[in-house]
Amino acid sequence: MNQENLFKVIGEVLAQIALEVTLLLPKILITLVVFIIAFLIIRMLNAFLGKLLKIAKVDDAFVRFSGFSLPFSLEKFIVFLANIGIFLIAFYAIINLFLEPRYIQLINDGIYYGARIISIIIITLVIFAVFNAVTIRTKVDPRIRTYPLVIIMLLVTAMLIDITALSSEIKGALAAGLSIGVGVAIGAFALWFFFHEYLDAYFKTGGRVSEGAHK
Amino acid sequence: MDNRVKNIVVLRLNLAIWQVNVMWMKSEDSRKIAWALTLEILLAGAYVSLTRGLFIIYLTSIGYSVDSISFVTLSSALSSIIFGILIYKRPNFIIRRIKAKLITFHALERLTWMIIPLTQNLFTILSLYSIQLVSSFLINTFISYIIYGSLTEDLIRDVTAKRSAANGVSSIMGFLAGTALLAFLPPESKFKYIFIMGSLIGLVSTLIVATLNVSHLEGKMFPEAVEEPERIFSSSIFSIVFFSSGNILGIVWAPYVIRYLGGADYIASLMSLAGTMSNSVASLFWRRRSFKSLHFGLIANALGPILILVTPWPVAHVGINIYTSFTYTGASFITAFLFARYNRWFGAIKSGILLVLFNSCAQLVASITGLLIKENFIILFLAALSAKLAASLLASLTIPETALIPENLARTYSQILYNSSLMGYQMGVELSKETIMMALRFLALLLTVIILYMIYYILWILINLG
Repeated sequence: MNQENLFKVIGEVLAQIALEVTLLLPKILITLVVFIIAFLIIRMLNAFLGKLLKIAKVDDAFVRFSGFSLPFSLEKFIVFLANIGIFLIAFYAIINLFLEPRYIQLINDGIYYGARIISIIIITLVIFAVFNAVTIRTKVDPRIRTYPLVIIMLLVTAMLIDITALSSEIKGALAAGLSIGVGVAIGAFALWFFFHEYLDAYFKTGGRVSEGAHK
Repeated sequence: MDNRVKNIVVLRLNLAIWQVNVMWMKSEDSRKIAWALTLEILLAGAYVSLTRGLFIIYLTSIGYSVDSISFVTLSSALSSIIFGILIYKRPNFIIRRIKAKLITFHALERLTWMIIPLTQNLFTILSLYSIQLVSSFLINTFISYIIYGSLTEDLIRDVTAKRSAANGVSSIMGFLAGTALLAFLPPESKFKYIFIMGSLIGLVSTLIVATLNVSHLEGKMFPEAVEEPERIFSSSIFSIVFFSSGNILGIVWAPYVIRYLGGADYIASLMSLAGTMSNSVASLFWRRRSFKSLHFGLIANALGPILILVTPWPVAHVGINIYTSFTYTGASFITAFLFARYNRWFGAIKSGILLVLFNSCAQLVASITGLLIKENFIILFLAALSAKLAASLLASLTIPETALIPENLARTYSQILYNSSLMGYQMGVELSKETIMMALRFLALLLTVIILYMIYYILWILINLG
């Protein structure tokens, strides 16, 4: 390739880039406008929702009706959900401009996966909050506290397995194992909880239990 | 200085000022005011008969149903009550530039009647009627203020009775003129002529009002605190209950005689005429009577609904109306005379406003009762009877001036009634506040959820578009 041809190729490439940029320019401008509008809507919505939630006092109402408090503010969470919603609307508006439907499907799958992770996090937080409230209310012995904690951890693990990239057979096997484990653990706990005095006496006396021993 | 002591000092000061004011006013000046006000009502009575007295007939003649008429009267009564409460809370409006304001509203009320027959639009009529009622409220308040602020207790009794008698006589004249004009004028324009004629007569009474000298009332101080609130409370409750009974009877009696007993139309007119005449005579009869005699009138008046219910002959109801009007006038003087007595420490301004407010409240109670019970005559008469008995009971037990029990005991009952009502009121206010706040919170939460729903609904549409 001689020098003249090289310049020609570079010129064509630049012309192609310039043409594509020129073609993209309206879309880029629209994207900018969409972002600005989304930003403004988020700002206004935050202020408006802030005032509404200040009147509604959702956190107070939740504590009053449920008897326990969540580790995060429900009011902030609602505002966060609204912000995410607006952001996603803007995002989808933009990707509809730039991408073809098959790529959009990919993004949809990605968002769906993200939503599953977020839902697991929220469920875990709620379960822990409820567990905490119940143990405080019923004044459970600290040693016994660890037991339901283990059960909860097993359940959370089952949920996490569901979102991993493992094969469905492995996922099924793990979930079945965990379910059997949780079932057996609850059964053993129930046996101990209702009959521990009787069992203590039984083992201490080597199998000879008097009639009133369990009383 | 403690607030209570400060209030008492202010009250005493006001009392002294009022006494000096009344003493300073020559008896000739007082008499002038008394005659001017009597002359004013002598013309105003005819004006009212020719305008407000025919208003319902006018609405019916242009095709409005009972519901629309009730809507007009109820909304207008409500607007005058709201205005009355505002004035009661801020009475400064009444004590500055009294004469100018009185003449303005006096003329405005009359001029409004010239415009009403020019329109048939419900909301225009409603607005004009509301303006007219609010003006009327203010005029009555100003006049009550002039009477209670300028005259001694005896003269107040005298003027109240004379005005009542003059009003009766004038109403009869207006009523006769109205009937004649309705019969002889051409149907398409008769209300225009009658209302304009009534307004012109009313404007002559405005000229009489313009001659009043009320400079002594300008900027007059009024007590901020009420010395004996329980007495005012008992008297107010009594007045509203008693006037409500009268208003309920006013709504139900004529239709009962015509529709239920099958009396002729003229019987209703005759009843009204006889009642007004009886009222005029009764005003002069009761004016110098003691509170105990007036209380007797009240008890006698309670027999009215029973007599109505047990008398099946329509003509006999004319006689019953003479009896009930006569006793009603005496019983209604209890309120006027009580406030003439309280005037010294309660203040003329508040007395004036309250006296007018009682009537508005009673009208409202009667309108609501009428709307709820509709044409169930027996229940309506029983409601009127219950109200009259309740008023008699209140007067017998809680108002020391009229009480049938020892005065000290009546004061105690009055205090108990006041305290329990105050507690109930406070509780009611708290509960209402709580309820309103709860509703607001719920609405705010609902709005938030709707916003979230809309956001995610738009998102869902966008995702499905992709």
